[in-house]
Amino acid sequence: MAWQHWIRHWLSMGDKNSRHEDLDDELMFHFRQLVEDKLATGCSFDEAWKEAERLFGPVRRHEIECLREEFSQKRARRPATLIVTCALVVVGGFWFTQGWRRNQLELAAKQADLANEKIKAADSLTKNPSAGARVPLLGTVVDIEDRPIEGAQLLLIVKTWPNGRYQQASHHSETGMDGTFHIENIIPKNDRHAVLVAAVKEGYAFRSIYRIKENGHWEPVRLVLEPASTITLEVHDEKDQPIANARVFPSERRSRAGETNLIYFMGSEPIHATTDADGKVPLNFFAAGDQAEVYVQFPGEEWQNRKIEIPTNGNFIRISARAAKLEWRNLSQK
Amino acid sequence: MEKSKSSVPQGSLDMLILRTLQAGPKHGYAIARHIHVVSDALIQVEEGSLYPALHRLERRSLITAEWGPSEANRRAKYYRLTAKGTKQLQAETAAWERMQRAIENILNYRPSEA
Repeated sequence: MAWQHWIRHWLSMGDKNSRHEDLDDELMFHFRQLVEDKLATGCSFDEAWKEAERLFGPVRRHEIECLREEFSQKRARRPATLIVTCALVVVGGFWFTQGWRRNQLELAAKQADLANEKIKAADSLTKNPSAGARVPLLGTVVDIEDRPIEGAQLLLIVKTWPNGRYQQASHHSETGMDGTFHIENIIPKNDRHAVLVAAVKEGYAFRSIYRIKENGHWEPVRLVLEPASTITLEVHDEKDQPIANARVFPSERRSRAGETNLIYFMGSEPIHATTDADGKVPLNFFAAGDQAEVYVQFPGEEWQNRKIEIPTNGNFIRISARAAKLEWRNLSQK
Repeated sequence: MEKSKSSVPQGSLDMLILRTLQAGPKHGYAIARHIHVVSDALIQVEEGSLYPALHRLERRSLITAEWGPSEANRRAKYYRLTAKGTKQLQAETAAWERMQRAIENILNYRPSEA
């Protein structure tokens, strides 16, 4: 309740130092996290600190912004104004009640509008049954010698704009023995849409295509996958202990030819992999020379993205959960 | 298809924060990371806007905050959505969808040919 904040603020006016310390702690926590993120990508401590400063800005500026926000409303600064504050609370309470009633009426009117829009949309669908009709998407996944690839995962994102609203949906399929896939009822027959199709199979560098179309006339899609480099990802903590059950998936690869291939976070679950007891997981989804990006979730933490460069020789790639260097080692040397 | 980063669309930061907290309590850093990751790195929350927004939402009782240990056992301030915040989120989401529809109508407008 807003009045509790007023009273708390008035009573704590002599405790400004405590509030400032809390704000300082909160901002410094965030700043430290940024520094650790940069250290984990291989920067030196100085570089990490400067980069975090550049991203975060001066801590003092954030403090000032927060305090300016706090004092943007009129506050009781002297004990003598408490009486005036109480009088204002009474008057304000009266206006609040009136405002609340007005808000309730407006909310009811908005809900009625929403209900009417839904009825219109349903009515439009009844009059024009093909408005919501959908057609299938077909395709094939092959290797560079035109041989079909069985068991390739297809991750699709379909973007549509029904009734002027944006919608995004994910779909998943898998190729059969002949390398083909067939997904029913996902492409709008008569409406504008965009589709991202990504083909993923371990041992092959993943590929994606992205098309925007005004209707559902799609030729069968053809995705050609080149062989991937053999990479093992190794995840460890500050004490060089392996981290088991860290989740990983590839999200972006930019080939040497400059092609960008994407996998969206939404709908990526079928290709999530987990590190074993030794903190290792195969990452055979990139070609040599790719600029790659993966998403990593250490146990109990949020997802993080990490950019890596795929070398020309088979390698281990080590990722630390905390500040540590990104290390490369050749299999032959290991 | 190129990915280009952009700041949070004007006026939508509060809504994005409330929506992020709907999944559970988070500290400010985790909120920024969540928005960055789930938007496929298309939206970057500026730290200079995030904390004033969090404090504003807390004063409006749309979120509450309490201190607790982070994953690295550091002192962190965790924010949680209130019931009032949930209602505000619904209202802001509906307003956002109306605005989107209006913009789409303008962009998709095609004058009829003679």
